[in-house]
Amino acid sequence: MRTDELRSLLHDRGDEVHDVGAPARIGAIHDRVRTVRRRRAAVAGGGVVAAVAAIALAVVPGGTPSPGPAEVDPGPAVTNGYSKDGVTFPAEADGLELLGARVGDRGESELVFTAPAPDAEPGLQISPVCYGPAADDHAVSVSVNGTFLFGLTCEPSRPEHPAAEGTAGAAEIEEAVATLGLTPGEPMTVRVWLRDRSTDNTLVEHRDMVVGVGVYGRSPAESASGPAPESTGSPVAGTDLPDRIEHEGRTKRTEVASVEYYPVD
Amino acid sequence: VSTHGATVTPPEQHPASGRGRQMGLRPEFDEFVAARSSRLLRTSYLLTRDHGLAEDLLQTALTKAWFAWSRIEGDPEPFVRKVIVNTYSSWWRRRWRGEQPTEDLPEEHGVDHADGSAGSHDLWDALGRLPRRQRAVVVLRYFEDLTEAETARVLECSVGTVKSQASKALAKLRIDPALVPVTEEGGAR
Repeated sequence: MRTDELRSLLHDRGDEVHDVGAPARIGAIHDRVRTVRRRRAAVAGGGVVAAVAAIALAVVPGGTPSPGPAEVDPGPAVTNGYSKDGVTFPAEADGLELLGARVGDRGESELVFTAPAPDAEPGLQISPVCYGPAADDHAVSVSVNGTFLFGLTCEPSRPEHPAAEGTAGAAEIEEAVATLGLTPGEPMTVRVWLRDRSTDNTLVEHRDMVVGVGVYGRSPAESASGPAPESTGSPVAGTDLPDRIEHEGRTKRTEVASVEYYPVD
Repeated sequence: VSTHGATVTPPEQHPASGRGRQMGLRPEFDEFVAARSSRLLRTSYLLTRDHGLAEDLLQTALTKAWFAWSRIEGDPEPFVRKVIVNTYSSWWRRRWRGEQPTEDLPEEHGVDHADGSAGSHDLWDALGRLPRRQRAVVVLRYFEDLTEAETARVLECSVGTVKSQASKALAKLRIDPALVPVTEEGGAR
C-alpha cells in the first residue's frame, strides 16, 4: 500500500459522492439554527427564574454541612488556557472560549469549582476527561448547579485533545442545560466525579484514575450585563424555590425576601 | 485566533457580541453553503464513510459556523473544515445517559462497487478500521492535501503529533489483514 494509492482511493471515493442533498441543505441548516435558538431561549428563560431566585433568596446560615462533597473553589484563571499533567484545554475551541477547567491529581475522584455561566448564545460545551488503568470499569459524570447532565466513559490513556473529544453542543446536552436556569456571567458550580460504570451515579474512588473537565462558552460581553434589572414588583407565580440550597459545601436554609423579574432580551 | 487560514475574532472584541444581538439574515453564509458545501460533504463522507452521517456531520458543523459567522475573518472554509473534523472526532465517544456507550458508527450502506475494484475496496475497509484521529489525519493529508502544519492547526495538535498519527495510520494500513498479500499456502507474505 503506497501513499499514492491512498490518495487515489480518497479522491475516487470523494468523487463518488453525489450531492443530492444540496438543494435542501440551507433550509435544513436554518431549521437547526432555529432549533438551537429556541433551546437557548429556554436557557435564557431559565435565567430569569435563576435571577429572581438570586434576588429573592436571603440565605440564612445554620444548615448542616453537607457530607462529603469537595470544596467549591473559584477555579484557576484560564485566560491562556489550562494545562495540567499533560492535559490541555486550549483557551478557545470551536470558537468558544474556555470559561473554567480543572484536572485533578491522580486518585482525586471529585472536583467542584465555579466558572462564569456563558452567554445564552452559543451556549455551553463541556469536555470532561477521565483516564487511567481502570477505564473499563469507570465513567465520569458531570453536573452543573447540582443537575446531572451526562456521563462519559473513561479511557485507558490520557486524551490528547479533551476539548475536541467531549460534548459538542449535542441536543441532549442542550436540553439538559436548558433546565439549569443559568444566568450569564453569574458563577455556576461545575462538578465532575468518578463513578462505577456498572452501578448508579454514586461517587467512587480509585487511586489510579484521573478526572478533569473543561467548560467552554462565550463570556457575556461587558454590554451584555446591561442596565440593572428593572424592578416591576411582580411576583413570580408558580415558581417553587427550594427551601434549602447547597453552597460552598454547606447546606443553607433560604427565605423569600422579595421577588422581582426582568425580561431577557 | 487563527484556524488554518481563517481567523476567529475573540468575542470580547466583536461589536456584535452580547446578549442583545439580533438574529439576522446572513446572505454570505447562504452563498458559502451553496458554493462550498459539496466539497465539504466529500470530506465528511471520507471521515464517516456513510452518506447519511456525512450530511448530518456537515449540517452540524455548518450550524455551528452560522453562530460563529460574524466572528470569522477571511475564508470561512478552513474554519468549517476544522469544526467538521473536531465534531467528527467528538462523536467517537458516545455520551452516556444510562445506556452503554458504543464506539462504533453504522457502517456504509448502499454503495455498490461493481467495477471489480476489490483492492481499493479492501483499502477503503481498512481505512474504516483506523482510529478516528488517524483517519482524520489521513483525510486531511491525502485528500485535502494539507501540509503537516496545516493539519496540525486543524486538529489543534502539534506537527509532531500529526507526523506520528500519519505514520501509525500508514503502518496500520500496511498490516491490515485485508491488505496483506496471502501466499498460496494461506500465510501472509
